[in-house]
Amino acid sequence: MNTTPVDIEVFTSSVCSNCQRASRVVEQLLEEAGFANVTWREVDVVEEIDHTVALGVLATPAIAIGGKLVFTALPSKQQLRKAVQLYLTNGRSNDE
Amino acid sequence: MSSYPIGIVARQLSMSVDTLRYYEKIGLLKVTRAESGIRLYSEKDISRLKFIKRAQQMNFSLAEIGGLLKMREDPQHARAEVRQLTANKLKEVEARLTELDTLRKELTLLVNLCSASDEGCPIIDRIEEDE
Repeated sequence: MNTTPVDIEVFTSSVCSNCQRASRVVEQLLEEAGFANVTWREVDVVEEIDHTVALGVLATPAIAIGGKLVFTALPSKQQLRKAVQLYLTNGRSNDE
Repeated sequence: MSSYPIGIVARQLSMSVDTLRYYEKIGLLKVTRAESGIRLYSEKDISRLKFIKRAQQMNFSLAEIGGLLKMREDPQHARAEVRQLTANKLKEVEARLTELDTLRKELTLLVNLCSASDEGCPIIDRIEEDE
């Protein structure tokens, strides 16, 4: 179980065609938008099923920001940027 | 008001006739009798039996169920210990619901992962391999 707080979690599985794209969108956004202090990681839903279910993730890909489920499908870079900005402004994620 | 003989009630609730007789014997319900002596269960009796069945599925003891039935009959005048029992059992039901909700989410996730795959269910296969 991961104990280090991470800002963005991308929930992935081996059978999910959009999961790699979701991770790429996050990676590219953080590089391009200069969110230097924002951390992220991939969560394999089978490996961390308790954590996954606790956040309410029922399908992949999904993205949680600040420990809250925000996207239940692949977001656009623009949608993700907006959510990260809101998170950084408010100190918490906002429901889409 | 409708009333039903024991065989019909037993079938309807998937309980045995002996069980229904036993519940009456230990005082969980009082069943009226026809002039011929046969038991006739009212809609209210059937409602009580359904409650007993639900409570048993929660592993409540028959003594506890007896207390809960008193509360169900007359909640405003229930004794303090019966009120306390009811509050405690409510907590147990809520805890069970939380567990069931978590299980529901886990199973939903697994089913969704399976349906995302064209070749059987590799996620489930992997879990089985790990066990």
